[in-house]
Amino acid sequence: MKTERELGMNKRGLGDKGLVAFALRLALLLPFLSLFLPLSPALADVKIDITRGVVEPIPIAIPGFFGASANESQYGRDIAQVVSNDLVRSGLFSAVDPRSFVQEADSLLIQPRFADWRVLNAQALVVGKIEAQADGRLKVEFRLWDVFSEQQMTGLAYFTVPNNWRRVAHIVADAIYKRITGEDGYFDTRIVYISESGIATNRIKRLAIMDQDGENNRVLSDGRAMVLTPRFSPTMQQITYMAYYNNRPRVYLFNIDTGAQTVLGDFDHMTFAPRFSPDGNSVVFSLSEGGGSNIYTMDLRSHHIQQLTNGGSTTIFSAPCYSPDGQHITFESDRGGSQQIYVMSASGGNMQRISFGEGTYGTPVWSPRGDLIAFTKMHGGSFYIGVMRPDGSGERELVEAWHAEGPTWAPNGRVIMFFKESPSSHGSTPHLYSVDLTGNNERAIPTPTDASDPAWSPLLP
Amino acid sequence: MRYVPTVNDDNLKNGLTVSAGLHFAMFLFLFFGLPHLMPPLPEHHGPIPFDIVTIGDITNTRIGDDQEQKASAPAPAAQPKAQPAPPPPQEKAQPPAPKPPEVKPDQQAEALKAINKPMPQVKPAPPAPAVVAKPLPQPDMLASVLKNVAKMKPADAAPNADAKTTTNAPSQAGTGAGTATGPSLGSRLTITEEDALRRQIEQCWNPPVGARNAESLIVEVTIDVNQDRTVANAEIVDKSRYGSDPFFRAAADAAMRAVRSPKCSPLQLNPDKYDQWKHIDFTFDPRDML
Repeated sequence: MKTERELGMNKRGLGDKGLVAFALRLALLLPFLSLFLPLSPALADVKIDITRGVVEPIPIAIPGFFGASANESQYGRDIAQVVSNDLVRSGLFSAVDPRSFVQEADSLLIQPRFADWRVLNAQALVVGKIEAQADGRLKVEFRLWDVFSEQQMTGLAYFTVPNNWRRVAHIVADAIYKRITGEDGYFDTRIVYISESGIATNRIKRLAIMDQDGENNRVLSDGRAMVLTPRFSPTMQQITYMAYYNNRPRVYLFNIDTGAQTVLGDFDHMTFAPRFSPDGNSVVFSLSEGGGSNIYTMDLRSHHIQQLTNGGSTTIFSAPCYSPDGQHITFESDRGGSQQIYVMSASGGNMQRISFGEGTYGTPVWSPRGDLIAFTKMHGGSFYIGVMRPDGSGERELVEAWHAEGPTWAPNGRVIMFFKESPSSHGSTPHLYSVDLTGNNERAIPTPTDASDPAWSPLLP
Repeated sequence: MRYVPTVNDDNLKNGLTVSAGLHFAMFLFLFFGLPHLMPPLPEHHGPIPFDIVTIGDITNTRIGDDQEQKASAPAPAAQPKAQPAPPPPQEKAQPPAPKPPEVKPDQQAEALKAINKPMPQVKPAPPAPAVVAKPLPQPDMLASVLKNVAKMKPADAAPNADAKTTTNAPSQAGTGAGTATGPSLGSRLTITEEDALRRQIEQCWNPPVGARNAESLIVEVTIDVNQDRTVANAEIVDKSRYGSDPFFRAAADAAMRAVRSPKCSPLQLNPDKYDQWKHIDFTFDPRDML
């Protein structure tokens, strides 16, 4: 028979010190012992990796916003229609057919019947209300619902004068787009472009501006001088462009709010292809010298001019465009024998060619996101609008046409606008189009006249 | 007179020679066999019977099954107990209280107090309606572009889905290895059953293709499933990132829409294995589609 001593557990050993030592040993051993314990049943749950999906527009239902009066109700229908058009045009949403709607606008305000909306395959539901205020303004409020989870995703209200209802609709569309995609929207923006009219031998090119959906079109110049390559300032309502006033091609600045126009510097030679820096404080442009051209910048406050390239009078450096961080400039040049796209530092130097595909490349435009550069490519008798990474990798062609040119980015960097024309018996007629980064969602932008050279504004302040 | 043979006897010499020759011939015959003077006749193989079975009938083994069974054999008490009848479907209220809506800090947007009031609590939604208007199948317009993008990616950028699928199974199988209280072999989800569920959810997932840094938008979702195979509850695992990263929030919402979609309800699961799929962890990884 074993005694307590033999077992190593005499009464003294079971004192406080012994217990503490035993507990310490146990604590030290526990991590090792746990390695040999069976896994808990909770870890035995089914685990499924989903690595493929179906990329398709999100079905969204946007009934007319509720209005108590006929006037309010009309605004409600119009705003819902603009919101729907914006979202559908992005290619990321599809509108559920309003004829299939199963709930009236007034009862929607109380509580959507989600089960009924699920039957329509609506994944998102927008419910809105219009109220005329005593001061004459409109209150536009909306809620965005996730139909499957029956949760409100966002809800906002805006006050505005009735004439501004279309802009409020764009702002509502931006809010919905941002909540569902995570990206900033681009619907509350404007497009400046060249409005073209007249016969081919006497073409009139005027500066024009419109909302991104083609509405609120306005012509900014009288047509006496030919205007080309307008570009928006990223920070204010200002445009820079090249115009032939008195048959002298020079770069100008135009303030949209005031209508004031000023010439950018006074050079002996032609200046062209202007574009603002990301902070809006300077303009980079090309200056012709003999048979070639070089890239310059001008500080708009100090009017200090800096030459960035030195190709002499035989090499072309043109179409400069800043990266969104202002550290680099992409441009086109024939310095290697054929027209290609290059990237250099914003102060000039350290030039790297980035286009190496077949054909010639031009008009590079850096994405506001910084991840891609859009370009025009000419190859095999066709024009292409494409994108590539800033290091030249990942080249993709989004559009092929008889003639396509002038890409410009939406402020969120997911959509490109450009102009395209096809040959016809009465001459080519350019029109504006937009395409998303997938290349599949190409849409025509309605303009009252022929249109070319679009430039997308930043989100309106 | 008795005949005594001698070594000089010619008859004896001849006999020995013949005997040795015959023995040598026998040795050659045994060693090399008969010469093939005629071409061999074609062999007629009988038909080999194959039973065509689905993978699922046989491929639900888990690492450690052998050890587990051996260990449990002498001690029946340690064997996985037969699961009692599955509990009734969870009828608890699923949707949590709606969160207050966000207000855009925009000077143009005046936040409406009334709109921030949470809406009245929605009555728990019944299981997804059995009769759902099935949308027409839409062509995958972006497939070609996505393929092109995939081609441009470095080969080692991301393993392909198939590889991931195949490697996933063992790792998943390993999860259940050694669980003394684990389910029996026949009650586990087979690879075929898991693939069926995967394919079903893939049809309902609209990944955030084109979003900035989409490769980092990997979303984990855990769901509780009712016995009628409808989703009782779904939760995002990384809630902190959901609240701070709008891109992740959008991707997470897309994942949640996939598991809650009427198009994917009820889930394609074997009703007899409820205990195995009442909790499912999904990982939505868009990297292969970028």
